[in-house]
Amino acid sequence: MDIKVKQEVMFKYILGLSVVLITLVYFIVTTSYSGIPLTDAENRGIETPLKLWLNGYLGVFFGFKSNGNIIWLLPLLLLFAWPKLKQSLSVKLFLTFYLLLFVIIAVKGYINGRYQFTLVPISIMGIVLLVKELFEEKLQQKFFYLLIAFTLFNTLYFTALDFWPRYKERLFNMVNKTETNNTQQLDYITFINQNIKEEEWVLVNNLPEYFYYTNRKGLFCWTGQDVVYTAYGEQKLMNQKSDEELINFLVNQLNCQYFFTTIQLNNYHPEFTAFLERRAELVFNDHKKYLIYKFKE
Amino acid sequence: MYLYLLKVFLFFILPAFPGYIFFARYFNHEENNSLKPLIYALGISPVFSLLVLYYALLIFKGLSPLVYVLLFSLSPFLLLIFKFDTSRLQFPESKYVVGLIIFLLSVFFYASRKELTEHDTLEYALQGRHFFHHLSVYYTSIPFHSENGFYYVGLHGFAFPLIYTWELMVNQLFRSESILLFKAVNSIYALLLVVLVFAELRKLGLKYAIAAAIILTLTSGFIFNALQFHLEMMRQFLFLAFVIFFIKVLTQHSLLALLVFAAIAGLQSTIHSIGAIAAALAVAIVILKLFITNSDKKLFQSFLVIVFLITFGWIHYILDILIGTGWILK
Repeated sequence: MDIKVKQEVMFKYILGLSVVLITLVYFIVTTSYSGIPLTDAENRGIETPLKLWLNGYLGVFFGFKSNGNIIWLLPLLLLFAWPKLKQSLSVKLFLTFYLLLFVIIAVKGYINGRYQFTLVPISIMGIVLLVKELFEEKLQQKFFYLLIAFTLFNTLYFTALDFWPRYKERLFNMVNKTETNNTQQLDYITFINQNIKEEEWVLVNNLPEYFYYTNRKGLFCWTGQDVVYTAYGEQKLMNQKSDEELINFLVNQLNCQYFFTTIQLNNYHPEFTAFLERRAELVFNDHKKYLIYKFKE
Repeated sequence: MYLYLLKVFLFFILPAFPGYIFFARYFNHEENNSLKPLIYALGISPVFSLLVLYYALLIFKGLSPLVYVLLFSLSPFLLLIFKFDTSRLQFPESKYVVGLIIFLLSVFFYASRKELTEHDTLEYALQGRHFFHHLSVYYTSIPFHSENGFYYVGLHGFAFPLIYTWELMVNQLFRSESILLFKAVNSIYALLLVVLVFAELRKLGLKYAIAAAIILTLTSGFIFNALQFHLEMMRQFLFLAFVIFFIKVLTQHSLLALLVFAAIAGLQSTIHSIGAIAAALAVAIVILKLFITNSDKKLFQSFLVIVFLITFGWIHYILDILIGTGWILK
């Protein structure tokens, strides 16, 4: 077969595969996509086993929302270029490095989209170089236009998916919005400064803004992992304590009278949230994000 | 705004002068291209200065902030002890300088209108503030801040928190409370990252450079990260620079290339654990290559690469394992 015809066939094959695969991934990752995540797993787009594989372990290539929808082309193009590249020791060593790092990120950093993005810039450069290697001038140009169009569409698509539910909520919930405006609208810094005494400590649920903006004392905790960080190191927070034991631990041992959290973070530890409903009083709610509870002894 | 521009000058521009001379010479004034050395100098020199600040706060604790600020901006000039041929050195083209100034002003207006709210960034800022209050960097198995009860759970190098420390030091000299540079760093590195991709591919042809730069810029993760106040773009820039130097070492062997690679591998480790792991991996592969190709003085060169990697940044992780939180071993 003539080399030009061969390249044309390869180009059409890649184009066809791209349309099918990208559509399929969109279908899978946007199933039950609400735009307003309720759990940590939903927030990270890994709430089902299939999504865990696509957005998590294989996120570098298929985590379209963050990394774009073209990085998966890298292994495919590499496969086509392999007969030319396999002679080079440098290429083999570099691919070993890339593969090992990919595995480390997949295993240890699958939960964090930022870690997956580590390999994106070098992968984009790799794709461009492989296109240069595999196709003649005219097809290269076509390929680049397609890559740019795919990437742009992907960004617009996920932006629209994220914004539409919030926009819809605003559009159709005008009544609720007015009600919210009539309720307590103090920001948390003002509330803390006015209502919590300087000697009173606050248990802070993974919100460093408390320490950054308030100049008050507190103890850092993360209910998502049931852990509290004290001067003696990490300790378990609930760890199957009874309500009485937990109140005693929080108020008398840790010296915390208040609990600072957000509406979203409260979803991550339902048992602790249930405990709060029984043994704490909600004293601040900005109806957007922040909540402050006072423990009831 | 003047203080912001002064901070940009002290943080990026002043350390980049010797960096530019070094990289222009290193790339052997290739293709009369001033963009590539300029980008590497602007991106890497501040991280070198942060490393010097780290060592200064680790060893010489409690000095005047002025001493640390001077050390930060002037330490890259140490590079000039190597005698460089500056006869063919050209000043970066004016279009790059004008473009950079316009971008810096845009970032100023963006950063001054948005509060610091990102979770990780607030943690780095609190750690940076802690270093500033103690005028020291230290290691402990329990990173509990007794002054407010905060507990630093970060496991990465101290480069990013130290930007905050440095900015508070400059603020103390000028009686200011602005943290605009800390907020602006991420967006400035986002620009440097795109230009780095462009500059590296330009020698192959303009269309490749433009295609890669546009694709990267349009990627949603890039847009999202570039608009945050985070360490992400700084990490990405240093990581990409390190990978490019890694490829250079794999394809063309010289002792200088080997040492520059090891130094950049170390520097990018100071920002994030992923960089530290990648650096260790790359160094192991480079040493493997030295042995596969039976290079002259392979043992000595391997030793030098490891020493450079540790000195330029991996020292943090060794100290953290031995006398700190235990890092990845805990």
